[in-house]
Amino acid sequence: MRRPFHSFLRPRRPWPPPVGAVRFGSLRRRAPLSQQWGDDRGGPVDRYYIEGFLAACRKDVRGRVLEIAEDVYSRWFGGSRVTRFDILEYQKGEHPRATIVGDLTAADHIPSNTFDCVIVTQTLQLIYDVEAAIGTIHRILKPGGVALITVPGISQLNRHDRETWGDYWCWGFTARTLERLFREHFQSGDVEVEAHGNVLAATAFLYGLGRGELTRRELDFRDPEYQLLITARARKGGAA
Amino acid sequence: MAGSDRGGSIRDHYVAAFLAGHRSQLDGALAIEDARELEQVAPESQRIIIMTRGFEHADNPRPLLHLIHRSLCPGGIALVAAGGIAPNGRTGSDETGSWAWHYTALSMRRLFGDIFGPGAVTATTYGNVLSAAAYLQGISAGELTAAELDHRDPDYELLIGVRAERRT
Repeated sequence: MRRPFHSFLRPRRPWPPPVGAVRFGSLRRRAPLSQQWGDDRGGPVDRYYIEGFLAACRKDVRGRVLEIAEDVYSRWFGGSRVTRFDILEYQKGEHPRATIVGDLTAADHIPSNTFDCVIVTQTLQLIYDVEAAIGTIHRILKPGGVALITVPGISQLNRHDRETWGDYWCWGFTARTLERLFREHFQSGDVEVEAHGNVLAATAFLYGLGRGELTRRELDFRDPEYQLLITARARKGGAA
Repeated sequence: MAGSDRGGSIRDHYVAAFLAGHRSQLDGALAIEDARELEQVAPESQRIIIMTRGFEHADNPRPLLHLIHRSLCPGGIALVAAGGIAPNGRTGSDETGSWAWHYTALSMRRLFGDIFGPGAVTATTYGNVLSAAAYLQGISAGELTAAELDHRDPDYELLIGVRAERRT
């Protein structure tokens, strides 16, 4: 790329900046720019990856679909392909359209082989017994059914969420671990895991910047050393 | 480790702060980075075990925790530091050196509590948004002020330091 003329009038800054020469700008503060993940700045950075993943998998959102806590993504990405929307709520009364009350780690009351698609976004990090939850997800899927999973990797916590919902956040995942956990349960099907993010996206997310404050190119660059958001598409084996 | 090539890493600063709180007990400590280092250690033989790196690499930390507990004598303590907000830990283009999990104070308390008993475990967190972001970027501890480093924000767990005591 050709340098603009004016840049020849002053020396280029070295990269990386030497010790003592980092320009922190707006980020040299002890508090993030948003206390709400970036909701108040155009939406959190991690939602860009979550929505991109679900959009890429929208054909899987069909038939009888179970989503955790809400049905926003089922409706948005499934639309008329969905014949029945189910919502799993942890405690009765959390959602007006909830159809099942329960805990993914103790869900014997949910029959096996029930759902064509199960959407579990940003939930598994709140579950201590993650393996039991993944076992349930596998069991309640029909043969050929698909689980669409997103989990945080690098992340902050949030005091307002803790005050509202309690202290449940147990883990940040890695692609390596999410793949191992799902392959253990989905042995006869397929599992595709991807890590999303890079150091800039991770930094922006920690500060609560909005997704619109980075370019798509900046968001889309993947650096496996900086796993902000990890996604898994897991298909249960057996006849589709 | 992020920042090591620019002077001490921010994580190392917090590890030092964590261990400084137990300075009087560190003589004779057994320092480990991997469960395999405990396999040949005699049961109930150690007064203090320290682990400041490597905990995050274990696919399943429970066998490691059992080994730590077994190796400690009654009254012995484990000091374990784990992250937390951090890069993935890879040392090359494959998964070598990569972390399995990022932990929180909650999961560390529960994991250790399951083995040592909940009352025998305390967890302290270190970090804030500035130090966490700086750590990700590879900025060294010396490039932030002491006040910036030492400000604790419980939403930004760069490092969790656990003290667990084997009671019986």
